[in-house]
Amino acid sequence: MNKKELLKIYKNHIIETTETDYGETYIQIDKNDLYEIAAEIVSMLNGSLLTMFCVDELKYAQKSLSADKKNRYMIYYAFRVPGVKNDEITKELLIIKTGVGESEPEINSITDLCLSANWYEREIFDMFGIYPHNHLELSGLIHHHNFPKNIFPMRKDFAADTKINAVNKIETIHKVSGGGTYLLPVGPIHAGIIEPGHFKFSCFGEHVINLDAQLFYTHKGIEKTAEGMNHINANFISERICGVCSLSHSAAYTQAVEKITGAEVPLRARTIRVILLELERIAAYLTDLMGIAVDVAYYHASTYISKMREDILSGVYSVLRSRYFRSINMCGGLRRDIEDKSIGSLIETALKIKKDLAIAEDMLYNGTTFLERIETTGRLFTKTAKSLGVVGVGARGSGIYCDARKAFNYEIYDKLDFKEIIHDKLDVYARMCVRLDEIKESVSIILQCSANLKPGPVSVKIDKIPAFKPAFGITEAPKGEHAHFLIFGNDSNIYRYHIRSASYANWLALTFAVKGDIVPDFPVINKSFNLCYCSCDR
Amino acid sequence: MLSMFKNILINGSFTEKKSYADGFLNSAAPEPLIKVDESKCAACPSKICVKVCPTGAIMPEGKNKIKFCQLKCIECRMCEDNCPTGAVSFTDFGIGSAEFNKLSEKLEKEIKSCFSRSLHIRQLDAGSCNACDHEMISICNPVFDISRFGIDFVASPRHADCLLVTGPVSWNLKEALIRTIEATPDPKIVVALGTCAASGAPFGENYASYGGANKLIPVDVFIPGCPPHPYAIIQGLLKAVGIINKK
Ligand code: SF4
Ligand code: SF4
Repeated sequence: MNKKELLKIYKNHIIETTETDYGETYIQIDKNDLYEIAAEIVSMLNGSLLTMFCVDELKYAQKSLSADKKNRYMIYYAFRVPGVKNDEITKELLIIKTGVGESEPEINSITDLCLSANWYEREIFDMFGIYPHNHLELSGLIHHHNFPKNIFPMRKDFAADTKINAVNKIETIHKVSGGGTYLLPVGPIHAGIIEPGHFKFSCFGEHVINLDAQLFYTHKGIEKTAEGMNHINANFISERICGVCSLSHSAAYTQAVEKITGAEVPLRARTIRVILLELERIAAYLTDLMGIAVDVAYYHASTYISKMREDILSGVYSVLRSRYFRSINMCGGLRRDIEDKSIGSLIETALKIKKDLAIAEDMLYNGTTFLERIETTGRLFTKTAKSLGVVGVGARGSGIYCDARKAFNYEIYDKLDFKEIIHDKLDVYARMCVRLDEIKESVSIILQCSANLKPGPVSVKIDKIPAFKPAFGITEAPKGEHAHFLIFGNDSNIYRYHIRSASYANWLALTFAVKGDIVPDFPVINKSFNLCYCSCDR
Repeated sequence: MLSMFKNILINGSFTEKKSYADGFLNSAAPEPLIKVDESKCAACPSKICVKVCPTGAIMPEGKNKIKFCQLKCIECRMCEDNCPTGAVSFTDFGIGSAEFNKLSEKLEKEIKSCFSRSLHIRQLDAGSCNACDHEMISICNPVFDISRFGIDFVASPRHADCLLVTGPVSWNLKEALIRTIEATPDPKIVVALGTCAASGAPFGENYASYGGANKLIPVDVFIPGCPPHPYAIIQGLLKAVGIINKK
């Protein structure tokens, strides 16, 4: 079955269908039909949940789909479905949305269809107060136990600057009981230079039986802050969602804006974007490899790799004047052209990395004590990874094709020749190998881009932004696939900005991967997925 | 094992050596990131920089002047790009700076006199975007190698002399932040690293963010930049050590 046939079968249930010229199909259905259609998409179309979020349409001033309060909250379920080629790799977007009334803020949970809906539904409950019926484990996600009840920050009638006072409430914890088991709490402030998260390990001896992760410590309301911003300023926010994937986030954001406005970004700008995106990927992967080596005390390799990383950062700094690829991308192209001489120096940096990588590979593949620690550690089984909707290196290390560069063909990736690296060993070692091989692919992409680089303009002007037209921006960042969703209001300012980062999709996988391993292996398993807290918590 | 020693012999040391090209760091106080040429600026009627700045770091002052608030600047360079007269320019940190050498010697001396050889730092992420934290990792790498000045990152606030706070302080982290500060023995220095720790920009103040570390805790030194260049961090630490000497 394909998308068209499915839509035909359910013709009578569909309230409205919107086809866009950028390959996204939006269908609106009644909330009672939701579960059935979602089940059909998952089983018959082989669809997987990309993201899920809610839009409060209270202030849709114009004529709109649901200006009445009966459909005030519009819940979007975005599924990746096989594209026209119908292969495992290319994907399209099928978005179903359903209205939820103000008086009855409830939906049917789809967690038993796709486990990955778990967090999304909890987030919608926390931020909009929409109760998911039959959810498998409903508890606060973004709001911690001391957050007052009945405050829903993402609702349009909640003022962003409201001061919130903590309440006194005892935390509930999942406990494992029996002889010899104990609970080991860690965090939120950790020992290394890392971000805050609170972990409760239930252990038996040294082995982890269960991991309960409390995240969202760094939640700083970015989505709320972005509402009402113009498209230029919001770009600076998108660059600062996560420092490691600044450009990938920004590229996802600008991609969505460019889809909405129909801006034709010049080829030169797209090519330079790809060069920079790949450099960002290399830098981030080197950081991860460094982390993996450090976490098993293999300092010789980590020091060497950190030197390689510094080469990239300072090489990029001399060209962009930012070590984190900031202030170069904008909606409609690039903020300034990069001369060929500077491009040349970036290429040199990439070539140097390729040369140094051989030495680093030698260190990593031949350190026996190092391999001892990372082989069979932190295994994530393919079936688990599929049902959790894991993306990025985490998924590719478990043998799943999921590279958004191939799946959604953004920028100029469809014209480039590169392989999607997958590995089937499932463990930390597999994820390390995927990274090492992808660095080499990235260098080859950079060389291809520079060979095809022709002079030309680097930006187009964005003048009018259509109101209430939704679009997704999807990029393959170093951490995996980022999906940004945007709607602009009729004042050309952002009405809703939803950010689903790769880490958000991958966090649950970590709690499965550590099961059965020993507590001291947790840091290295964590690093091997490279989960970040800031883009997950936003 | 043998290849390990071979590599060490071949690669030698990467650390910034004693001979440097011309540089930009020349004062103990962090230099302003932005420089305004006042005569050029006075000739500009539009003062467009005030409008384009996303964080409100530039304010008009009188008729012909602008006032720049470093603590709010996220280095987006919109002002520089849009300035019609070219009055605005930025400090660049070149790798290899003559003054860096002087600076590091001074830092080393100050640390010796005050903390008998070592300054121990505890990193404290209070909602940052991770770039500032990654710059902390950068200053430990073999190029900048901050440990040769006796500076080290430690695992617990109880071992620390200095807290490096990043991020605008999120609602969920308030308690952890305050408890960590309380756990650090006196005398201590609190350094807010990065623009968002200094003023909350660009995230601002909202239901989940306090908009800067100094809203909740006493901060001794701000290191602005988004993220600050490793040199700027080293410079800021030097200033911090100077302060604790007086404490
Ligand atoms: S560089 Fe700083 S001062 Fe200039 S526009 Fe950006 S935030 Fe404002
Ligand atoms: S100052 Fe800038 S780079 Fe540093 S944490 Fe804040 S937003 Fe990120």
